[in-house]
Amino acid sequence: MEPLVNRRLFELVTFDSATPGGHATVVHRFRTEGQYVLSVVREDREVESRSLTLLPGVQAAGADAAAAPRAGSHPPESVTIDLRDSQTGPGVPRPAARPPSRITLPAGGYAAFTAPPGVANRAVVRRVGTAGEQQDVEFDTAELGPEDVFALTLLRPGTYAVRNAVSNQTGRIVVTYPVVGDVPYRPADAVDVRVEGAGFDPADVTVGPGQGVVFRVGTRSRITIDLTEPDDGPGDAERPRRPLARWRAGSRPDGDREGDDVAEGSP
Amino acid sequence: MTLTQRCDIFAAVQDAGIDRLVRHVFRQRPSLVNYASAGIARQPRRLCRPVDAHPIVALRGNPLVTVLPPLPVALTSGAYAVDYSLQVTAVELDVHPGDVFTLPAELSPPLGEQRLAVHAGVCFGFGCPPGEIVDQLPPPDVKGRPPREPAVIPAGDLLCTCIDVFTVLGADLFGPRGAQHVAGRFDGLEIVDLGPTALEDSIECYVGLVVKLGVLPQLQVPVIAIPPLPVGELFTIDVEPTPSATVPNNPALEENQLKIFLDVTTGPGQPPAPPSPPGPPGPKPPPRGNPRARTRTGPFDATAAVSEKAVQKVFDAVRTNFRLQSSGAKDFGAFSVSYAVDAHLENGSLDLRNNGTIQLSELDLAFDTLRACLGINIPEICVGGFCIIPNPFGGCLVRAPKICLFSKDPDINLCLDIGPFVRAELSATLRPVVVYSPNPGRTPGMNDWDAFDADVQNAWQVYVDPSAVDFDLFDFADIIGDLLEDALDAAIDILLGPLPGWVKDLVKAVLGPLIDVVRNILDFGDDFSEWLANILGFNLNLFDTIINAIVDFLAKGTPLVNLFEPVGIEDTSGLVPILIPVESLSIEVTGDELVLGADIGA
Repeated sequence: MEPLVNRRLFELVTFDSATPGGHATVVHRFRTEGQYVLSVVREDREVESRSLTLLPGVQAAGADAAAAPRAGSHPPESVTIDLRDSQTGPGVPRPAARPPSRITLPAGGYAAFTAPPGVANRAVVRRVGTAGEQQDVEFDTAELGPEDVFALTLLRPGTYAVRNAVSNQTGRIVVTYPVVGDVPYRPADAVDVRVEGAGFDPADVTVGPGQGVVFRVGTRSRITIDLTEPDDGPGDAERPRRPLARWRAGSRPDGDREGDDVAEGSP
Repeated sequence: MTLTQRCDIFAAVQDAGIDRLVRHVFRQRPSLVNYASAGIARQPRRLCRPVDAHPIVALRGNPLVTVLPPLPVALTSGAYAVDYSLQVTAVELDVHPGDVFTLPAELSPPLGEQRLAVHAGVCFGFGCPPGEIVDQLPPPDVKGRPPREPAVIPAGDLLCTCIDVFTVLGADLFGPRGAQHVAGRFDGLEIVDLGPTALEDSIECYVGLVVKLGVLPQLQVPVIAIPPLPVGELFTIDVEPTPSATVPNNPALEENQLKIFLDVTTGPGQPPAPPSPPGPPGPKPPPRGNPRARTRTGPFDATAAVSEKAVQKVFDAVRTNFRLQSSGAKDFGAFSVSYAVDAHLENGSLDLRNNGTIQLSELDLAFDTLRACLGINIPEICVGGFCIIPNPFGGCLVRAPKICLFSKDPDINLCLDIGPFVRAELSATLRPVVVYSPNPGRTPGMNDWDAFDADVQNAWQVYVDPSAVDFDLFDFADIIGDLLEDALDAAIDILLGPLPGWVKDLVKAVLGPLIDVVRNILDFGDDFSEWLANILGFNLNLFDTIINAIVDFLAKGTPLVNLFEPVGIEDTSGLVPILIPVESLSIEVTGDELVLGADIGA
């Protein structure tokens, strides 16, 4: 029996928007059509590059384009880019298929950068000139800009320190301990945190385990999240006893309903 | 009055049945009752009485006569001898009241109570040579070496003397407990029309000695030789004659029958014998045949009756030794169920009924083990996957990565030991039936001896047909639901293995009350006990398995009794076996006893 996907999922207690992976992803919207190159960088060294082509597509209509569609326009598209490279270390699951070396996306579409747990690769996207020369950096996960999004799911209960490494502003996220209750636990909707020049808003967030946190970036940012105080929950002695189910006796051939009383508790 | 009113087992044989048996012996094995010197044996037509032999005797080249040495002529130093013959021409048995033949006055007729009489016809033939032949014979050399074989003096027809011998006997039980046997007791003998009186007395004295000291000891009938029952390996049956305080005459010679009354006790089974090299396979019982109606009227030649009490004793032993061990499994897709059962029977009663059936009632099926195991696919548990960038046209453009805790729908396996919480009863109506089963291996050209030799005999068979078997499940205790919950908790802990406690709690929190998850998967509503009972009983056919096991155990799936017909009596003589036809076999259940009747064929 192989019960769990990946034990690393439960060991992730540190996140960095520069190297989105595991439960985290960075989303960037590419507005301008053209040819780009995506460099996969590990420890400041490019380990792989891929072609990214922005096709003519959705007209860039400002920051609220996605939220305010106009009649007759096409919806933007999206692509998920796996930052796993061909030299991923041991323990990192290999993809079912090699990530495509050529990526296309209609201009105005979104690219979501992520990687499996254990992969700490950064994405740098540069525009390619008509002569094939690489020009300025269009997007770098190490420095998010306005309209970028950093989203993650925290599983491990405890208190996390949140920091914008660019502005050195901080915040805090508390992940509560799961409660085994009468009804199945379902994480609430993701919490939005705005990252502005003034800092995180809200700066103090409490979420349930498995609940999403979405950092919507409004200023230059590199967001790091680190577990500072794990919460291991109540001990077994303090753990509330889960109520037992109730049972009703079945019918018997002689119609005797002995034992019809509701039984509660363990034998 | 029932046959077993004062005993457990009653057995009786009619004198007419014994007479029929004797006639079969006479015809199939004539050399047992016809003796002669070689000269007569070669010419059996010269015997005093013609031999009524079955055609199989000639067909198989068996002798009509046992050859004896010729009768030496005295004082000839073995030089001369004469032919002679000795034939037992008839044997009749008459059990009180004497109504088969009339006793001679010397034996004080009529036949006394608790007595049987035997009448035998005996013919002696003497080959008396004619005088002219004797006159021509040379005198024997009495001083010389005797010849190797005497010269048999030729003779014409035998001089025949036929006499009737009557003897009156009683019967008693002899021997120590455990090895008792029925033996005849000599009361008197009369040879009719033999004279003079002194000679008759002398001969009668001699013959009486032969009967008392020679014949009767060889005719002892062992009582304890009960053939093993089909469950004989499971328990022992001890059969002893019913004490005289209960039945005044045991054995009893009355109503034209030789009767014996027996009591039965049962004991624990014997340990199995050490394995021995397999012998040649015995004849295989033929497939089940059909009932055959009795053509004769009147009492059966042989009758055996077993009291309800004795049947109950045997049933008690059977019940004590019944053991059901079975297992089964079924995959239902989303889950699987398996079971292992080890059960025995307790309590219950047996009743012989006037309608020809045996009623078994309220047999408790006690489960030493009833383990139900469930294999359940736990649904995939995922978090994350929330929407990051909504699609202005509806839906979501970009979602967060989805985190699934299980790689696939994993199975958890849990087992519930529910034996102590299940109560079930069995009732059965059994009907003993007798059928006559022709053997398909017997070809039309075969006679009974051919079929005997080829092991393809027909057979009388006794089956116990279960006309109704009811399995009533009376209790599948509610506590089984609690067992399920505890087992689920343990199974999940095993499934999550060495993961940190917070992960286990997270999984359990997402799953919610496990019992609800399992309830949804198994779809058992609010009564797991009833659901499990149905699954085990009907989907996995546990109830059918139990019923079939009981039926097979009672009826053995094969005949309870298989009596090859004709019944063969073999010996070491090398001659054809004596085959006794069984004309009919019958079994009857009265309200008080089980009665078996058999007729010997003509």
